[in-house]
This record gives sequence, structure tokens and C-alpha cells, in this order.
Amino acid sequence: MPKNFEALVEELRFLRKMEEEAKNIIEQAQREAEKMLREAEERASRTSAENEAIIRKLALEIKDEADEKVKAVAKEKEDEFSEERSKLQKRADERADEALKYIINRVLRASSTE
Amino acid sequence: MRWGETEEISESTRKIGNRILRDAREQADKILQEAKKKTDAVIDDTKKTAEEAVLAEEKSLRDRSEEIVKRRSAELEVDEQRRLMNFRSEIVGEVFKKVLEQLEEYTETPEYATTLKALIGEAASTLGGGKLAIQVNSKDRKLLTRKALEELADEVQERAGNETSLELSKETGGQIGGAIVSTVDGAATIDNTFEARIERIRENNQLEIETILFGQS
Repeated sequence: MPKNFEALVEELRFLRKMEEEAKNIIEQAQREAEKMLREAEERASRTSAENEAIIRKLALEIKDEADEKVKAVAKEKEDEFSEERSKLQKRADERADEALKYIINRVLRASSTE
Repeated sequence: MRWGETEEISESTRKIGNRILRDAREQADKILQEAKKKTDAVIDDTKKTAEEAVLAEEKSLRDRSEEIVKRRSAELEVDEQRRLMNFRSEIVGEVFKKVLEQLEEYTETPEYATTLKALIGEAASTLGGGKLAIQVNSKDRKLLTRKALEELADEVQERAGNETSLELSKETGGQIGGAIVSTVDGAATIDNTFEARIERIRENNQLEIETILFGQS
């Protein structure tokens, strides 16, 4: 049944409205997509900053570990030194007379008296 | 009744309208899926890059730290050895100090005169005899009488095969004991004082002395 002019206008308005809605749907999706991307970039930027903080913390931890190791070595060397010094002192105390005799004999032993 | 559902809108037009909306939603979905892919990629890349950076930096920091620990440990080892060496030197120094003390006491004994003559004889023989001057300390001059010097000269002459005369130098030395023997023209001198002999022993027999004191190192 042929439509009258008003009905055709009404159908055209309807279709235009649908197109408007469609355009809105796509534009909203684009805005959302842009927002998602922006948020991802912000998150990436935050991750980089967090990463720098992680590396700084790690550097401090590693430095502390190294300091501890050096301290342990220093203590070990100090202990070794004390122990070795005691041994040397003890041996020297035991053998000082022998060394003394050896040196004095050599001082007094002129070739004409040998 | 919603707009567009009036009887004036034909079924076919409504279908076209619905199709337009469906296409738009599909396109929107595609846009969002594409965005999701991109954001996932950005986040994954960032995460991966960050993890790699942390690992690389950690390795570099640990390598450097290990180097520092090795270097400091080596320095501490060298320092320990240096301190032990100094300690050994101190002990050896104390022994030599006692040597001087005992030798000073020894110069008071009757045996010392024989030793003094032997030291002079040794130096004089090494110089090959001849006219020689002997410098001793003021106390030891009394031990070297003219007769004693003549007897000593005879012994040296016999050993060196050269006519020998010995005379006391007018100058006296500050040594504990022993003598400095020189040719009278001053061309050659042998220092056979206790101090000089000790110094030579210290230079030449350090290893033996340390071995006696501390054992084999």
C-alpha cells in the first residue's frame, strides 16, 4: 500500500535517528579505546617509576650484603691475625734464648777463634 | 510504545535501523577489542622490559659488588700479612735489643779480652796485615797493652804473610765492644765492632733467625 509523504518523512527520521545512535555507539567505543590506551600508557609510566624504585632498593640491599660480607672477612682476618700473633709470640718466647745464643755466637765468633 | 515502533514505520525500515545499530555495535566491539590488544601489548612490553631491566641491573650490581668484596678481601689479607710481618719484625727487634744488653754484660767478663783480640786479628788478617790502626772504646784500651798488640801482630803477620804492626788509634769509639781496624793511610777499614757485626748478621741471616724464632713459615 503506497505511503503518504508524512509516513516517508517519519521513516527517514527514524533511520537518521538510528544512524545518530550508531555514530554515538562507535564514538563512545573510540573514546573508551583511547581512554584504555591512555590508562595503559600511564600504567606503563608508573611501572617504569616503580621499576627505578625497585632497582634503587635492590642496589641498597646488594650494597648491604656486600658490606656484611666485607665485615665478615674483616672479622675473620682479625681473628686469624690475633690467633697467628699469639702463636708467633708463644713460639718466639719458647725459642728466644736459642735465637739469642745463635746471634751472640755469630757476633763473637771471629774467624781466628773458629 | 517506543518511537519507531509506530505503525507508520514499516517493518523493512525497522530492520534497516536495527541493522545499522548492530553494525555499529560490531564495529564498536572491534574498536574495543583492538584497543584491548594494544593496551595488553603496552602493558606486557612494559612489564617484560621492566623485568629485564631489573634482572640486568641486578646482575650488574651483583658483579660489581662481588668485585668490591674480592678487592676488599684481598686488601684485608695483605693488611693481615703486613701486620704479622711487622709483629715478627718487632719480636726480632726485641731479640736484637737483648743481644746488645747481653753483649754489654759480656764485655765485663774475663773472656771478652780474648774475643776482642780475635776480632782485631780477624779484621787485620782480612786487610792483609801491614801498618794498622785500631780504634776501640776508652774502656777497652786497657785490654790492649803493647805486649798484647805485639803478640797479635805476630799472629796476623804469620797468617797474612806480611810484616805487621798494630797501634791504638788516638780516637776512641762509642761502641759496646769490638774494634775498627784501618790501614794507617786510611785506605781500607774493617768495622768489627759488635754493633757492625750485629747489623751484618741482621742483614745476612734474617731468614735463619726468623726460622729459629718462629719455625718454618
